[in-house]
Amino acid sequence: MVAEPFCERARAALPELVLGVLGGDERAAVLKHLGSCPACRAEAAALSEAADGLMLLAPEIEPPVGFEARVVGAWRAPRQRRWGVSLVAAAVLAALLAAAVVWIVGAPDRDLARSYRRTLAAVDGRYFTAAPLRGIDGAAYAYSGEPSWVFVVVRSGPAGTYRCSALTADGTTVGLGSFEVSRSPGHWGTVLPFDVHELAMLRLELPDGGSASASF
Amino acid sequence: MGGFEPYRAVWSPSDEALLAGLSSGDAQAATAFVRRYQARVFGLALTIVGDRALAEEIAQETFLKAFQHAATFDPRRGKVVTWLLSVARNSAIDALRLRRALPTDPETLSLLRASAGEPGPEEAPVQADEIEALKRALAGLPAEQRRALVLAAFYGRTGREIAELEGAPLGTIKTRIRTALIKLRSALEVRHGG
Repeated sequence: MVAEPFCERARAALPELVLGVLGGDERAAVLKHLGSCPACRAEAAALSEAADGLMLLAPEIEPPVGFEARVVGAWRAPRQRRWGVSLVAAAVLAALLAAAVVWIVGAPDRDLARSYRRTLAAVDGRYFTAAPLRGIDGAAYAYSGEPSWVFVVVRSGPAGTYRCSALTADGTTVGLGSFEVSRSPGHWGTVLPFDVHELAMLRLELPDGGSASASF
Repeated sequence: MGGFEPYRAVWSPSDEALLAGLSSGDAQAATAFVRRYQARVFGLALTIVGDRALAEEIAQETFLKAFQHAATFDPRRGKVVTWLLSVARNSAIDALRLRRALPTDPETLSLLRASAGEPGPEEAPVQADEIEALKRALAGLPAEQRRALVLAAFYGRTGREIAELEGAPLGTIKTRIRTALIKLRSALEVRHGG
């Protein structure tokens, strides 16, 4: 069977694709090809196996004592009942959020993580999530619903224009918009063009050229 | 922790059994799951970011994500450990990018030390075999191929970034990455073929 001409190009790019370092356009083209070429798909699968195996070569190192207790403690078991999404619920959440922002301002970072988890538990963690910002003093909140939204609080940071983007679970970056902060704390929110479960990270480009992020 | 612990019985529950347990809120299943993989997840995170506090943050995030997705994990799509480590790897790479950190010299990574990648006591024999084969294949690569592969695989560097780092043409780097990964794949194939 003669290989399609694109196969050669695709094969050459497969290693970078499976390692997750192939650039946007090329990646899209190769993925599209894989959708219709079982031979290249098989090759990609074999290379993936090797790439995955590589991760197993990193040494096993025990984390600091108490790690597992901290993880399981931070985890909230999923509730069986579903939290109905309605305008009333959204209003309650907004009120809770406002209260949470006031409550959380001034708390040291370790306590913040615990505060967020408690807030999550109150509104059933599946539909509302929060994370501290790394790189600047602040936090990001995300709510899953119709629509999903994110809300960013910058407790103290440089004045100027902040640009916000989202990194989704499949590695795509989505620009969300920009906002001005003239005096801290600043805050801003926007609707997410995708469900919050796809949200992996929120990124902020700071007015002074730095960056911050919150991981979900 | 006293009393009967169902997940520390003589038999070892499968990953799927633990995931099923923790999807229904079983804290003991969650604890067993974390214990099973914490050294692998933390070890990979630490290997990549080189900072224990950050590595612990990444490891915790990884497990919490795993708990979130436990109910929807599809065993046909691959092994749990593979998925866990790829989440950890991606978080670690993102953390590095945010700090605009340069990667540690790949040669000084502990990957090639004698103790590196040694199978843990609970490692399935098949996996231990695979690890050995890959370790040998990686050690057998020419240094520049190994460097390019490690920079891409562990640090998420693109061909372009590696070309800049190494001062080599992009085409050369792409070839190095490809050749290296193909050799690793062959090492696994030889085992499968028997």
